[in-house]
Amino acid sequence: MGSLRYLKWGDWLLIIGIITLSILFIPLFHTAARGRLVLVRVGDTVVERLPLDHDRHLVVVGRLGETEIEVRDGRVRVVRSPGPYKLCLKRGWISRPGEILICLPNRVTVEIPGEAGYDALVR
Amino acid sequence: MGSKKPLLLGLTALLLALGLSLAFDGGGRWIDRRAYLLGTLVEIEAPDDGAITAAFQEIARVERLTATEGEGELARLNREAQGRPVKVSDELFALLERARRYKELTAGKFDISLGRLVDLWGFGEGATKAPSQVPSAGEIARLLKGREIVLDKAKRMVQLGPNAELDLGGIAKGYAVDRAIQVLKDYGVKAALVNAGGDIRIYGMRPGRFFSRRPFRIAIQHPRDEAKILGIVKLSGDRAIATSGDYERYFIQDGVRYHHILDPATGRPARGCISVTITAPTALEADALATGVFVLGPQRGLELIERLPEVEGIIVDPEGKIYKSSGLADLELRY
Repeated sequence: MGSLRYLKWGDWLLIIGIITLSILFIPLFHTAARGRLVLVRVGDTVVERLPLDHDRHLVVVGRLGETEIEVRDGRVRVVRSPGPYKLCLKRGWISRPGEILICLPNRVTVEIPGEAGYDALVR
Repeated sequence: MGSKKPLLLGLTALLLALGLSLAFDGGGRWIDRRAYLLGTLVEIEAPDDGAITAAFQEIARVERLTATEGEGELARLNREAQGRPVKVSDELFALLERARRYKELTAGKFDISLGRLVDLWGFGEGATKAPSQVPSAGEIARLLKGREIVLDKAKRMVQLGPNAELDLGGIAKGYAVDRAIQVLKDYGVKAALVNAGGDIRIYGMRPGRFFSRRPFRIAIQHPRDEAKILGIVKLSGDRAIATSGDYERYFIQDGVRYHHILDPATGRPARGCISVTITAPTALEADALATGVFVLGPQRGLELIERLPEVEGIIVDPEGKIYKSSGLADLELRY
């Protein structure tokens, strides 16, 4: 550790500057990776984080019962969920960042995090 | 280091300044939170976590006030005011007066007294399965009668006809969104978005890339293809947007679609539109007018929109034809 004494304050500034910039770049890399992830929430809690490129079937238990989710070929959909109008089933497959399936009565959401081309959907 | 020192120092200072300014971009970081309220998934985006919490609490308060079940004020009014006057809070009275104003504006088409008919069809909020049967004509006719709402402003009293059950589904979300926006403003928040299941209000400009600010981009759901949007409306300043459509709560019998937006003249689903989107200064106004215009139909609906200041609209009829009000003439939409 003794060698640290040879660093001048300008060197310290440089080191701090580089570290700060590196931290700031983290979100950029995150955005690139985000499209390949699926977040499954029950209520406010994230219960599953799945890679989109890994085919999988899973069942989560929400407020009213089971919601069955299928990940296949880089897409995800809900195949079964309790609720009167089955809106999350009718939506079909999603694959793009910012897309979300909401099984409202069961309080389950399936989301591909990231920036969509819009901030909100009016429906 | 020698002569390189000043250059190195300058470069370091520049990098630090850039880094710090990126990290603390004026208004703080943009936060996006969601909560299940008002029977939907409510989303609030703003740069202040404490303000967002307070705004959610305000929405929860409005939910209690306007719920048709439980011990809230509206539920109590529905139980007690049939045939006798009941005193209500200033807030609920003001809300009922605003509902009456939109009823007048829409030639009676926006109507909050249809609770029993909505339940008869099976489209009530509490329904656990979609309806599958059209009710009998006799039952519909019976519940269409006796739906008077008498408002006594001096005494803050409300009296209901025997078949009037108040259902604020057409404005409760809009009102809650407006109240949440007010709370965010009271906290000094410079920009925000509140979205209660598609009843949306924004103010200010959203942070964009690299220090910039940009308008909010709101996509409009395509009424017949869940995976598509009709187009994107850009909003800034202080604006609200809401849609009424026949594509969420509905059932199909003998090839005919029956949905939850009832025409108070017939007690049956309105047939003139499949989707109506309204932009207006407040979410309550957008919410109420989207429903009212949906029932009025494209021609009369568009006439109403053009008559109202600061209100614009997009209407889709059953053939997929899109009608836009004059203020949105340049907006690109595709059915």
